[in-house]
Amino acid sequence: MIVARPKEWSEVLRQLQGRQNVAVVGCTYCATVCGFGGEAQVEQARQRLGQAGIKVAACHMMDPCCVGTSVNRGLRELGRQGQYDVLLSLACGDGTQALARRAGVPVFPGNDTLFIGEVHEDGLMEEVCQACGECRLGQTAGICPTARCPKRLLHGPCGGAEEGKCEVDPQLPCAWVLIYEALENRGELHTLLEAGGLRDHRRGHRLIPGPAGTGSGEVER
Amino acid sequence: MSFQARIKQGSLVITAEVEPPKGIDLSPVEKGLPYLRRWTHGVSVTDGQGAVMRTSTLALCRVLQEWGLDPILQLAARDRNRLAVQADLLGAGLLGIENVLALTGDHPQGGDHPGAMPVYDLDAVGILEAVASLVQGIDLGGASLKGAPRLFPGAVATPSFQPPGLQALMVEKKLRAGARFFLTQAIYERESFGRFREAIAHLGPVPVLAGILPLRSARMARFLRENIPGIQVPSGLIHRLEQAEDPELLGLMQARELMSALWEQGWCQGFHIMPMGRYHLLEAILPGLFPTAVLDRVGSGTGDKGG
Repeated sequence: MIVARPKEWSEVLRQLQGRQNVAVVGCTYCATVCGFGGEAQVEQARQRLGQAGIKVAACHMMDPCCVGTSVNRGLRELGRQGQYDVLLSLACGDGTQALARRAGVPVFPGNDTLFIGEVHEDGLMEEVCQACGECRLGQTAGICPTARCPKRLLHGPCGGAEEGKCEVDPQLPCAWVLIYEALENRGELHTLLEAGGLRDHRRGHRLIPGPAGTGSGEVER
Repeated sequence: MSFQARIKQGSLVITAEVEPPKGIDLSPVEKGLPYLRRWTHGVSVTDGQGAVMRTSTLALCRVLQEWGLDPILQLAARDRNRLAVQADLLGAGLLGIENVLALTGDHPQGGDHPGAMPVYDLDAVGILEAVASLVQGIDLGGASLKGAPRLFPGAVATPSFQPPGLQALMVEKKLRAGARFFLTQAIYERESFGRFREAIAHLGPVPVLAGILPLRSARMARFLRENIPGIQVPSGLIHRLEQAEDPELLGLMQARELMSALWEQGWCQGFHIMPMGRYHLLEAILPGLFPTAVLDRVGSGTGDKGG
């Protein structure tokens, strides 16, 4: 899940200063599940823009906002609703860029995108993956130190944890203590002696081919 | 005899921590020189301790070397990628500064530039691996060096870390990566240090210098406990400091008692004293603790810089 949080409303208004005919866009995937860009948030933004004297020309939920064909379809639907001169995106950073690439009008973000995370049963959202491109979860008991240790340490913990909590945030469990306990329970502590190595940072601006059919025409639902 | 030689031959080693100033005024360190010369075998120079921006560690090491002390260069992974780590290690080699202490480093969030990028391209183990490679004349990219540095790497340990087994595992990893000595975070309890020694007993003789940071007041003790990662001050000691007529004296006595106890148990090869800029404390803590011959320093006054 991509996790984001809404920007301060004053910042949203500052971005839209002097603009009219705004189209508000949400997304049916992560933004809906995590509640930062679902139907309720799109409707709320529509009302608040109206209160601020900004005309809302159209609203639409992209299904989803991170797939080019869905965005093209959604933009056609927005066009049918009315003439818009600017887009307010309540999708994630990916969705906002997918819109910006295709909309032909300025696109402004309504959210700050935070991380790839897991939604726990109690609603807590936790960062668990940084999409590093070198998954080591097999050596670390399924707990990622790149995402869950603020120092992204690969060899083991620093000395800062106290009572199993991180020096950076006492709410945060030390990922390496969790890894140690999990491996100890399995009798596989020896794997920790080998854990480490150098990270490969050659990961900027990656483009890879997708599965057949996703690159052309409409996505079937 | 140099710090390095003393570690290698198993002699008692006393080091003191020196903090680079925030700025370029070295007069406080200069005032401490007589104490550092008389009472230490090496001075460990911090690297952005607490993630607070200060003057370059390597530069201060060079100055201290010129002043006749034997510097230990602390190198934190927090601020440097692998290119910069290796560049600084080669720079140390170039200046004849062989003692290097590999640290992961406190996270910038707790320092005075809290929004700074936490680099950690390597970590403490990664820095030790870089040292091991450079001294062989090869860099981390696999290229040959024109002139390999001589370096004597060490690392840190946190005796109060829970679980002790995980700390022991980190000590083992650091030893395997080439660490020749360990300095510990400041300790206040003999029991937790004993548990740490027990946890690393299977690793054979490991040169450990126990971290000693004399307390001045209950307020200071609480500050350390709450703000410095890896330091645990027992509540009982804080209470005693609160009740004490002269808490500074109590802090010094506590440090001396702890050092005596650890030394008698044979749990450490020496002590790493963190005077926090109050270098005269060395002369308050150390006299009489060890036979003069063992300390091999008292009254020499000049600081025998070894190679």
